[in-house]
This record gives sequence, C-alpha cells and structure tokens, in this order.
Amino acid sequence: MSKIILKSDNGNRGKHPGFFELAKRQIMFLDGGMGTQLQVRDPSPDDFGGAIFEGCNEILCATRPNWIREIHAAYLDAGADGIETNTFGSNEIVLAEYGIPERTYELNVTAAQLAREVCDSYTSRPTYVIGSIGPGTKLITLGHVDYDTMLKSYRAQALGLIDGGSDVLLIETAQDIQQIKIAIRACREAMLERKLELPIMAQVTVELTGSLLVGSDIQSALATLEMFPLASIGLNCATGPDEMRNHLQYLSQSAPFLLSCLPNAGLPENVRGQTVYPLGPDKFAEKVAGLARNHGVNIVGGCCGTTPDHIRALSSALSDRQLGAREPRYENAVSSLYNAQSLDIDVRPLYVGERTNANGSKLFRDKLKNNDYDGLVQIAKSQLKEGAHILDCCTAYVSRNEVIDMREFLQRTVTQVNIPIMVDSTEVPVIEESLKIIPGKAIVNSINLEDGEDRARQVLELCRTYGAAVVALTIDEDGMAKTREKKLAIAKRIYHIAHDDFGLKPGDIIFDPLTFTLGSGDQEFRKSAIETLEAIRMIKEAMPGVKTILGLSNVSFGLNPYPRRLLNSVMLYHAVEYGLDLAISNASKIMPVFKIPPDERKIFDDLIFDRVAPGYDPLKELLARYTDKKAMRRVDPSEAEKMPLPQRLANHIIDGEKLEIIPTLTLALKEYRPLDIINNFLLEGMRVVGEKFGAGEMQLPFVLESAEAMKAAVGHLEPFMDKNESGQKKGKILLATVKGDVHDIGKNLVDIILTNNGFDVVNIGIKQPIEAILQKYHEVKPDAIGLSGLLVKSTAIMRTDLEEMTHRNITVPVILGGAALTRQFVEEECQAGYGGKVYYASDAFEGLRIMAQITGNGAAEPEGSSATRVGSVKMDALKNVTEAAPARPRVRAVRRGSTATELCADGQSSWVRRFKQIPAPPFWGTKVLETPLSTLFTYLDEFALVRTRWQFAKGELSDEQFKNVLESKARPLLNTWRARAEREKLLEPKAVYGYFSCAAEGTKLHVYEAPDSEKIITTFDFPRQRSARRLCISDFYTPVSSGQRDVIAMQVVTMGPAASHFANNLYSKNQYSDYFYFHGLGTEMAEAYAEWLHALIRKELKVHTRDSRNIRQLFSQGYQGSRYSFGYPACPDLEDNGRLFKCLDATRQIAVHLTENFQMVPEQSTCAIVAWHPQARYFAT
Amino acid sequence: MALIYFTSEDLEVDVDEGISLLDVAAEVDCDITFGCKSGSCGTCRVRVVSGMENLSPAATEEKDFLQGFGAHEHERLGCQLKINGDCKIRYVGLDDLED
Repeated sequence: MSKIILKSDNGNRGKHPGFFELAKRQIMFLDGGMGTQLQVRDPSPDDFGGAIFEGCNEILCATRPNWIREIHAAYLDAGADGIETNTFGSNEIVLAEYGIPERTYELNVTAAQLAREVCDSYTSRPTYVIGSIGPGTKLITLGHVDYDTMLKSYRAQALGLIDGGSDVLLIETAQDIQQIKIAIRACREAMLERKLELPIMAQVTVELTGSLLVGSDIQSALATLEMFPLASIGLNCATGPDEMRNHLQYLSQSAPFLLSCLPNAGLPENVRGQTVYPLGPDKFAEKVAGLARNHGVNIVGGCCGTTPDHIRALSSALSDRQLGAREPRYENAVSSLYNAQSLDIDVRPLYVGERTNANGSKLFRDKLKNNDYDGLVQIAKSQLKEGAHILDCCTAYVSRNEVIDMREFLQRTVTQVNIPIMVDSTEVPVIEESLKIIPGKAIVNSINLEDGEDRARQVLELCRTYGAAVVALTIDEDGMAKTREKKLAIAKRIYHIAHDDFGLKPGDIIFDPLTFTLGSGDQEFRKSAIETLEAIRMIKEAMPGVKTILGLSNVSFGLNPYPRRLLNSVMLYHAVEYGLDLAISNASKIMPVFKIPPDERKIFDDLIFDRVAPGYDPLKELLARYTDKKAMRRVDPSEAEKMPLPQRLANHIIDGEKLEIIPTLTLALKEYRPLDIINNFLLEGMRVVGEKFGAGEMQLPFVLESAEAMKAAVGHLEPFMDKNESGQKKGKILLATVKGDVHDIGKNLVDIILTNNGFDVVNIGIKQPIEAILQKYHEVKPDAIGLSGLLVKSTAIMRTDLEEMTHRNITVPVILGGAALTRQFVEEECQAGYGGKVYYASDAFEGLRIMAQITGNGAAEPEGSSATRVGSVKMDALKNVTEAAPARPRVRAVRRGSTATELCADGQSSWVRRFKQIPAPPFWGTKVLETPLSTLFTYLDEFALVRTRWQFAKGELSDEQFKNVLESKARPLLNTWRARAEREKLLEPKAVYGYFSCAAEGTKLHVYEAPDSEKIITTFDFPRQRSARRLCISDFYTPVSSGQRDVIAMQVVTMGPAASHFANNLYSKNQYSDYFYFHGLGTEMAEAYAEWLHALIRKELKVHTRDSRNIRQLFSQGYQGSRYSFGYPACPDLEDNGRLFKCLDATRQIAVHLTENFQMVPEQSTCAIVAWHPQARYFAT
Repeated sequence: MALIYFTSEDLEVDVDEGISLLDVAAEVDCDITFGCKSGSCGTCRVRVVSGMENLSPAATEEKDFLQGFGAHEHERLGCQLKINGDCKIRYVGLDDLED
C-alpha cells in the first residue's frame, strides 16, 4: 500500500459533518441488534429465496429490502445516529457456504444502498451508514483458512460497502486478532482502489473467559491494533455491559483511539429452549450510560438482544451527549497471540531468546535438518522457561527452503508460546510469509542500508501493512558503523525513512548500534564497546522514544566460555546503564554483576572502557587469569569440568542451579552411589547454604533456589536408588499449623528446609485441631511434631495442645515456631505443661538444627553457632521476634509525670476534639467492587514487599552488594511477578465496603441499621489506654450523648481463591522460590487493595485533602483519619472480624469466610474499619 | 545505665545499655505504637529530641526507608533503635496530623 490515501472525509458521504467529527466532541448512538429484529418477522424459506439460502440473513437485503428498511428506520426513529448495514456475514468465505461467493460485492452494495436511502430520508439531522464487517465463520489463527483467501474475501466486501455509500467501515465482533489485521488491510486496499478514505472502527468480542475466542487478552488486542490507522476501537457482543467494564476500562486508559461499546442485553439465558436476554431497555440504558460516562466512551449502541426500545432508552439516558473525560496513555508494546509485552518497562533489558535460531543453535539446526518441526517448538518453549521475553526465530540454513521452514515452524509455534516473536531474516519473502502467520504484533529483525534504501523500504512497507515493529542495524553503504557519530548518523537516516516516510512511531523502531568483539585484541576495536555504549545514549537522546537492542554475545566472541559469560554480563550491565532496552541473549546465561568478585569485575570494566596503563592490559590480564586452573574453579558451570565432581555438585546446590545440576549428576552417577551423592555432596551444599544464611551472607530467596536445586537433584537420583535406599531419611517430623490459624508459609518454609536436608516431612496443612494432629501422629510415628501459627491466639492453642498431649501420655519432642511466640514463653510456660521436650525454633534453620539434635544426626552445633544467630531474619516474614536473652536487661520507670488525660463525662478521652460537622457518605449500606490489578499496583508497598515479605535483607553484604541484589534480583522479580499476575490473572481482587450510622458510648461503638433507625446491628467494644491520652477507638466517633450520629466505614478486600490455588500449586510442584514470591506479592496486594479502598473512602467522605503525595508517607497514615484492622494494638480482638463481616455480609458478597478463630479465608484477604476523625491515629493499649 | 525521657508522656526510664526500644516499650507504658516491627511500615517513627549519638546508628535498610519517606533528619524508626546512652524521644505518630 502506498502511504497516502487521497482525501479524508472523516466519515461523511453526505452533506453533514463527518461521523467522527461529531464523535470527537459528543456521544454518538449506533443501532441495536439486526438478527433479533429479523427473527421477529419469522422468515420462511421463500423469504430467503429458497431453502438453500435459509439462515443467510444477508441475502434478505435483496429478497426482502423492505424489512431491512423498516428496521433501519425504527432504529433511526429511536435516536440512533448511525445504522449498521445488514452485511455481518457478507463476505466470500461465509457466502461460499451458501454457494454464492460471487454475490459478495453485489450484496454489500445493495445493503449499503438500502441504508443510505433510509439515512438520506432523514433530512433534519445527520445520520450515517456504518458498513458492518463481521468475523466470518473461519478462524485463521487456528488454520481454518489461509491469509490470502481471507484478504480477498474481505476486499470484495469492503469494495461493496464503499460503493454502496457507507460513511464508516466497522470491523466488528472480532474474535481473532489476525482476522482484524486482515480486514483492516482489505478495507485500506479497497479505499485505495476507490481513492476514498473512510474511517475504520474495530470492535473485538471478549468472551466471559476474559479473552477473545482464540485466547488473546484485551492488552494483546490493543498492542496488535495500535499501529493501524483506526478511528475507534471498542467492544461488542458476547456479554452484557457489566462484564465489559474491566476491558473497557483498560481501553479507556490506554487506547489512543476513540472508544465504542455495544454490549448484548445482558448474558443470554436459556429459558424453555429460547435464548432470552435479561436486560430490558431501561436497565440496559442505565448500565451502558454508566460505562460511557465513567470511561469516556464516544460511540454506544447495542448488540444481541437489543431492540429499538433499548436504543431509545439509551439515547434518552445520554441525551446531553456529554463525553466522559479520559486521558489515555499507551505503553509501547509487542504481542504474541495471547499476551502483550510492554517495551516501556522500568526494569531493562527485555531478553530476546536466541536459541530458536539456525545460526546460533546447533540443536535447532539438527532438528531442522531432520524436519523435526515439533522439536523446534520444544526449543521455543524451553526459551520461555529460561526467562526470554521475546523469541528470535530464524530458519535460514543453507540448502533449505527458508520460507517453508519458517512457515512450518511458526504455524506450530504461534499458538504454543505466549511471548512475542522476532522474525529474524534478511529475505523479504520470508518476512512477509512470517507476518502472514503471526497473529499478534511481531518485531522484524532487521533492516539496514548496506545496499541502499530499497530493501529497507520494502521491509518497512511490510511492517506497516502487517503491523510490526522493526530492528534497524547501523550499517550503510560504507559498511558497519564503528564510531558513535557514524552510528548516530545512520540511525537518524533510518529514522527519517521509517518515521517520516512510513509513519512508524518512535517506539516501534529499535536500533542496534552493533557491538564488536573485545576478545581479539585488534587495535581497531579496542574502543568499540565505548562507542557502542555512547551510541546507545546518543541515539536515545536524539530520537526520544526509540528503543535500542544489542546482539550481546558478539562482544566476547573468541574468548573461552567462562570469561565470555562474564564479559557479556558486565557489558550488559553497562549497556543498560547507558539506556539499552533489549538484549539478544539467554537470560539464564547472564550473571548478576554483584556475583562477580570485585577484582575480576575490574578486569572486565577495564576491557570495556579500554583502560590500559603501562604494563597493564586488561585483555592480557583476562587471558592469563582464565587459563589459570585455579581461577577456573570459581562458580562457572560451563568451565567447571576441571573441578572435582563433589565440589561441582555442592556448588550447583549453593548457586541454586536446578537445570545445570542434572548433567553433573549423570557424570557423578558413574562414580558414586546415588545415596552417597545425596549424603556426602548435595547435603554438604545445603549445609553451606544454611551457614551462609545464618551468617547473613545469603538471603532467603536464594536459599529457596538452592532448595529447588536439591529437590530436582534428589528427584533425578531417586530412580537409581532401590526402595530401601530412597526411603532412608535422617528422621521424620509431622508439621501442622494449629487450629483456626490459616498461615501456611512459615510452616512450608520449614518443610522445604527440612525436606531438602534429608528429613522426611509429613505436612498436614493449616487449621489442624489437635485430634487430627494426633491421629496422624499415631499413623506415621514421627520423631518430632512441629507446630506453627502466626496469631497470638495460636500461642495459647499450642499450649493447650501440649496439655492435651500430656493428658494422653504422649511425650514426643515438639518444636514450636511462629511470630507471636517468644523463647521464654515456649521454654518456660509451654514446657511446664508438657511431659516431653519442647523446643523453640526462631526460624527454619534452627528447626533443622533441633531436628538434627533430636534424631542424633550430625553433631548438635554449639549454641551461638551460625544457625542460631539468625534472630534478625524473620521466617514468618511478618513480625520480628526479639529473642529474650537469658538475663533480661533492666528497665525501670524512674518518674512518670501525671499527664494521664482525664475522661469526659461521657466516658471519652478529653484529648479528642468533637466536631459538629460530620461527613456525609455517598450512600448507606454496602457496595461490591472488582478493581483491576493495574489500578491496585500503584498502591503496592514495594518496600514492604521486597524487604519484609521477600526478605531481601542487607545482612552482612556491603552497601554496594546489597544495592546490586536489589537492582539485579529483587527489581526484576517484582516486575516479572507484577506482569505475570496481571497476564495470567493469578489474583482476582474483590472488595466489599460500606458506610454505617454509628455512635459511641464509653468504650462501646454502636452500629445502627440506618441513620434514622434506633436498631443496633452490632456493637464493638474497644480497649482504652490506661495512661497518657487514655485513648480508645470509640472516642473518634461522636457519642450517643451528643444526639448526633457519626459515620463508620468498613471494608473487606480479597485476592480471591485463585491466589491460594495458584500458590498451593507452585508449592506442590516444588517451585519454592516462586511460591514464596507469589505468596508475598498476594499478601501485599491485599494490603494495596485495602489502602486503595481506604483512599476511595476518604474521597467519598471528602476528607482526602490532606492525603500525602508521597506514597511512602501515605502507607504510614499520611492522611486524615485511620484504618484499623482487628488484631492490632488498638483493637486486638479478632472476634470483631465477625461483627464487621455481619455488617458487610462479606461472606455472601465476596466469598470471604471466617474460621472459628475469626481469620479470613482465602488467606490473602484483609478487613478494617475506617475512622475519619483527624485525631484518629494508631495507638497501643 | 542510660536514661530515656519520653517527652509526650513526661516519662523517665532507666535502662541497661544496649537494650532495644521495643523491649523498653514492652516493659513500661510509653506511648509508642509499633506496627510491623521490622522497619517497613513506619508506624513507630520517633523524633529524637536529643541524644542521637547515643542510639544505634541507622542501618542501610532504615536509611532507605526514612529517605523514601522524606522523614525529618531527627526521625528514626523506633523498632530499629538500640539505646546506648541518655536520650530524649518523642513519638510522632499521634501528632503529625493534628490541626
């Protein structure tokens, strides 16, 4: 397609202002369902022109034009501004099913003319013909039809619609993102042919599953379509307005197009064999009007089940045509069939996997030679596991047909991987064939100006036609650019062509400023890395918004594998600092720079920045160092062959390398018995891990990676052991979280550490009453029982459990763990009530030490050894337990001023001021919310997540090492998990909140049924401080004696059952670190939701003016009023959860339950009451 | 031997050096509220009126938090403090939003 199409008329074939001219400034109405209106007329075979055409509604334009005219007129009379032509299935593919593909053009002309005729008869106001283009009956992504057939089919339709007089072309009810791209192309080509530009609308259909029929989510649909010149984007069909809300909200926030929304009249119900749509005109109008106002929708109308009455109600509900406000911000992205990948990410780089490349991978090449295409897909999938964000695909291999290979490979791959594809080829036909197959938005790799501009222009034309981003190499007629100035100059020249001539946005142009090897010592290239780094910076500065990429491994070409890996890693580190966005590299082969010892790191830094001195050449230094065997014995797996096997195995465990350890195990099995491998080598690795953890040198997330490697290793060895051997364990422990307590993670961490240190762990889960624990005890006869619990209440339950065991003459050793416990409580009070021995384990490694002692395995380490010095590390990730030292330090109040505040006559603290003006809530009673994750992420307390939940602690690391861990481990993890939670819908946020009339009486707070009712629905009773200000939460609400009523807000939020299921699934699959990260994220997201909802409540009560702008401060009560959760010092009674749940009816409304101990299930839920009083703060009682 | 003076409640406490403020608070009724007790929520922020030199220096994590918070230079996280000598402390949680 050439770049300019003729005159644009903004959607107007008549004398009125264009459809979109109006839609930009006011709401426009389209019509409702056509099919339903035709059904009412009960068409007979005759009406269709014969039995063979029965069901072909499109043919009715020719056979029963009056019907169509009547329906169009009815909708215009009802207030529609635009009517959709009766051409939903009028394309060659659908009409071929009736044997009349050749009538496609004619039927579209007829249909558009009919609509035109009706519109033109309304002279008093502007009315428009909207040419409808439906999805057809074949899904191209699933291979039902080929690209060219579909293009031709739509082209005939588009020509007909244009010639019949359409003002706008509407690609609607789209279920396949590839189909939309083809329909857009067909429309553009038809317009070009007729030299007339019409606006194109695109509407996708998101099923109840939350994605298009072929599995694309709304983000991927937008990423795919954003490059095309659409006038609007929107949703229609499949569901009613309610189910569209989230998707519409996303489009409203992100799409750089106008918005349309045409829902069904609710979700269809089957009533006595008839499809019935539940929403009547008024209800439908109310809901759609709400959507339109809230999300700034420009064009509204109806789909299945809607009638002229629905449109009449809708146009009257929105009669002022006032547009809702929206400020869309689009993030540059590419997309697979299923998910979008943003290119505007905080944590760079995005890794482009390079193993699906015939030039880069021998395995890929071998499978290609054998035509093993399915094997190629397996390689693609393995790239996903190794952390690739984008998949570079190249099938160029001598003596093979690259087009065929690419087609075979991509057709299998696109439905099987959920990351976007980078088409790596220099051949225009290969690129075009690839783009015909790839459903989402791909990246073409690459163009350059080596032979002038012709080929680059051909490829850019493809990018524009098919909607793809492009990689551009800084090569021109003089060859590869080596200086920063030359790299910039070529980049600017390419930018000029791609952006100015082909209209590509800066974000879709990715420059590769080339990198050359530093390993050759060639004088010409000594400064090449500096030039490349500077070029990255200059290109991004000169052309804001463009992206950069490097084929990283070129920098180390010619070196040995180990120094190669280090040089790649250090180069990447610097490149990212200079602004690099994407790296073609295997993510798992990049070593975090903090893991490289400073003296080694310096050599690579010096090499990159060419820091030579008399007598010092970093390259010579490097070559000398890494041929020295001793130096080779460091960590490196690729060069580790020279290291003794036992050491290598231990190192794999310490470094948490669960993939790399498998081949080493295979080698080890030739020399050692499997059991010896476990006991002597692998457990030695775990011992070092425990030691490093205790010494504060290793953090919990890394410990979990080690445990995963251990699990994988033992799993690999088990088939080689006989039953007797594999059953051989150091001892057995029964683990449970006590009755009423839902906290899983502390106990599971103990399970992980013990299991992977050779113990047999029977983990019976949470909420276990003592009867269940003892029943299991008799069954499995463990060496010890471990009881866990987070709550203060759980500590009392542990004590009664122990008493019960004494009662039953059980004396097995018991280990207690949990945040609310203290050593003193366990060793004194709990021990006193139990006949056996009771131990206190402050964390999992202390549990390990105790188990070793109990079972006589390994010398009990002396007190004060590393394993016991870990009081600062919080296994329950929530509360730091201060270990009481044997002799308690002295604390004595010497003088206490008489500052205790007096109480008022009504029994409240006189420090608290009274306000006559009490905020009025927008409603009384409750409301349910489903807030998108993307909204909640802004309220995520990243500090608490990373430092407290995930336990990235500084420990004994240096400031720089710690910073490195945060940057290169924690940050990327945070990003990955946020994206993953959103993409895979792992969290399903729901909330219920409400406002209630209340009044205080002393320490009591009564909650009334309604502001004008005396009926009390519940009463809270809060403790009062004994000294100082003598505060009690009730003081922050107006007293009964004032004769007034106050308002209390209550809220329950949850991340839904999906979160728990997914966490349990990870745990059961031994993905310990993922489990740990996800669990932490879910917990903090529940907090984020609580914080978000509290902010909404402040806004609704209009007490939000003092909200801090600093998000950190906001998390620490940087606002007016307070949110109190039960169990905290000012309101410690968890039974209040029950009272709150009753008010909000939370169990019924959002399916959060309470246990017998008043804890919430699902675990990742939280609830609170909200006080608006300016003096309401946290305090201890 | 160290003397802590809590200004808001006019309370003087005599403690052994090296004790944590958490432990002090658990023993005497002083008006400090602790939240997470692990330095990530900010509930226990105190203003050190005098004697900053007698308190355990802020570790990197505490510094990171206070910096992100935009805290006053004399503010510390109560849960992270160890008392090595005389000091005057005021809990800020209850007064930072008073009119």
